[in-house]
Amino acid sequence: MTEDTSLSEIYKLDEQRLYDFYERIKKRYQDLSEIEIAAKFLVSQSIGPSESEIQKILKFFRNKEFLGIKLLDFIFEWVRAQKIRLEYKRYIILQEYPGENINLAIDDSISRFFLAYDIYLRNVIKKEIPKYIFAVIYKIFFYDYENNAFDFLEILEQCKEGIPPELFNNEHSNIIILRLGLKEIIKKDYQRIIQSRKDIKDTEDFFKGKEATEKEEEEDQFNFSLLEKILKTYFIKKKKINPKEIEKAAVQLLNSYFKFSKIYAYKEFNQKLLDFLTENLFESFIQDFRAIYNRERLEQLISRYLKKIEEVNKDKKLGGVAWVHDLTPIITELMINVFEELLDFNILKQQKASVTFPDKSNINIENIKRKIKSLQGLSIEECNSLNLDLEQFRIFLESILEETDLSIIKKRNYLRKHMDLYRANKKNKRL
Amino acid sequence: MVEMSNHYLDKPGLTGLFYSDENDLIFKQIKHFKPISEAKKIELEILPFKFLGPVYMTDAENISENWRIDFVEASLYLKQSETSKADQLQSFFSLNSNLPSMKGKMTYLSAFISTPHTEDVKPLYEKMINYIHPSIIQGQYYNEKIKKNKFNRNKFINKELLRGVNLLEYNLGSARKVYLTEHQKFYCIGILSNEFEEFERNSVFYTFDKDDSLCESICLEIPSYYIISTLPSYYKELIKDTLHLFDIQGIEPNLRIIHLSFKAKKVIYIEEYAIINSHKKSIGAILIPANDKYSKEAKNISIFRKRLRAYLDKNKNIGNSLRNFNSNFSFYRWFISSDEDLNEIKINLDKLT
Repeated sequence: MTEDTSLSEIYKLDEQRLYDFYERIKKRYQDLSEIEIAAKFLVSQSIGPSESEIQKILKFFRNKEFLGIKLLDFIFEWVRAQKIRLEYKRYIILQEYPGENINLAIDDSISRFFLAYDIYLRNVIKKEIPKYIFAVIYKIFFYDYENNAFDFLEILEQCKEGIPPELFNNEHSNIIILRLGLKEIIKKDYQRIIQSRKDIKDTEDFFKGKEATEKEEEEDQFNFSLLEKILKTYFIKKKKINPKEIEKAAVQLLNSYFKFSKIYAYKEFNQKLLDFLTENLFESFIQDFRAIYNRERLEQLISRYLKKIEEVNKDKKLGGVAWVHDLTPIITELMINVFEELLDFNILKQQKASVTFPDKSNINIENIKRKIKSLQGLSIEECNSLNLDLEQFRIFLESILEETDLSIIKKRNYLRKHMDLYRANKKNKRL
Repeated sequence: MVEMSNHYLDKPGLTGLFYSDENDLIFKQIKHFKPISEAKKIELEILPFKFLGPVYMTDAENISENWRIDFVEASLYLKQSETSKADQLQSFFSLNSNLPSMKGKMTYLSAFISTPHTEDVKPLYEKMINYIHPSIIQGQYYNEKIKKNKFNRNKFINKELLRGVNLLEYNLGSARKVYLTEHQKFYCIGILSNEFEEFERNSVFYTFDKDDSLCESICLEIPSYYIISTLPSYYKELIKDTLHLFDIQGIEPNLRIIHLSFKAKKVIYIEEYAIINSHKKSIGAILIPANDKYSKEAKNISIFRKRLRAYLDKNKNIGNSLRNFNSNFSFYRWFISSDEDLNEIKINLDKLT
């Protein structure tokens, strides 16, 4: 099997299908010339530049009678060339030439794809034609029409100047012709590939950067969800929490922040941990406890516990795992103490009991209670006469409303309305 | 004239292209992965002449037609004593291309490549003879015509050689394939036996009796008995010198195959080696394609390789094995270690006075 036949086997055309399609176009446009039909055929196959430009090309080749092959064969060869271009594009798109060497891209592509095609085409074209015409054919057949403007006459001039017929008609010049015809095409193709790779890399870098920032932000977050869940359960059920549950929540909190492979200094996170625990614990408290304790007090308590680790590890830099290991018992102990000492419901009861109400002799307290129970409007003077601070007033209202069978919504609305009134009145008085 | 321009490879390997133009000016382009010392730079200058030398030799000897040394391949084996510092290279091969310039004078392009893999040499060789070499010749002619006095020939040829080296280097790494030609049958026309002891090499050539009619008729199928008996040791030494020049340590070359051709004529030399009691022993067979005249004892290359291997493994006297290659061989030992010995071959086998 010779070189040219193997090439036509590799890039085989379904000639019958192409011919049938050509005939269909011919039947449909019976008034058109052969060149116009051929141009329509190529355009329908998404091959070549504009229809008018194709007509110019085909007219040139037919008028000059260069090729010694039929017009139909010429356009079929154009289809085959596009198959080869597709294969070459598939190849070059995967290549990473060292230093993005354009010359290497040209040499590699020509020697791999187009050298064999040159031999094939010279066998197909039986007639002796000026050498530059081969360069013209390569430029036409392998041109990137999608991305570049195509001007046939300009290409013709370029090739004629590049390979002057008087110099090269009797000389070996296949490599020069291949380079002249394909150099710019391969160069532009490869440059486009490099550019699109850069664009993809830039986009990836952008998203990687974004991900890294998000990850960094995530790293700075403590996960409080288990502790929050434990607190809510405690406030609802009012039952002692198993220390193991607290330890689990402490491990989750610490694991979410400290990463396995990273080294941390105490200074880097102690304030973050203190602020986070203060804020989140306080926010998780129910209103009753919030009324008793303020943030400062809670912060002092947490700080006291964290000092234990400070005494041992203040100047040390430890890995994330080591910090989780060292801090878990301390956070667990802190939380057990928070439940036992701060969030003891007995304290709340005592607190309610210790709320001192005004002297019954001066104020008709029963009258006020009755009004509250029947959800009647309580005047601001009557409220003021109780001489309670905001929180005491709320506890007072709640304790009386609790004695009624009224719906929760009604109780809540009544409480909210009178709390707002009382708060506004207190504020006005301060001003 | 040797134009200097060396480049470095980013992975272990050596790739060099030497070009001898129509005026016998020599150009070179080498890529290597280790920097070369100043002291060795003079040797580097001589390297192209050493590689192109045998190509000239077939011309200059004028004893036969203009034979081409197409391909020389050596495998690189680890020296047991130096395995810890051995470089990763595994194969070394040389390719040659001869093409007439536009003015009709012969030009030569020689490539040497050493890589960590067993390369598929055929596509590399095709790139060399069909693309790299014609591009130099055509480009030179084209630029001389177009640019006239402004054309810098040296710069152009060096640039083309660099393109060639880059192209060869980029296409390295394809695994060796079996091609149809390797299933051809060949006829053995000579055996070369080498034994190396310390610093001494004992090389002997066996072929037909000098008065045998076969000896005379075979002489027409080969460049000459002198050339085919000296080429293997020449290339062995050349590859060794090249590896030393580039400071490739811990590995030694062992010649595997040499291809020579002239038009339809072809000569193949194959070699096998063994290390026996710390001494290297090698044996090679010189083969020509079988035809109607030489078909009786023709075999595939692989069969000849097996017989060479069997001889080495049994470690017996060559006399017992000689007739396994060709029953017409004489037991006469033609020594090829000195000029006097080689002259004997020229006079008695090549019938040159």
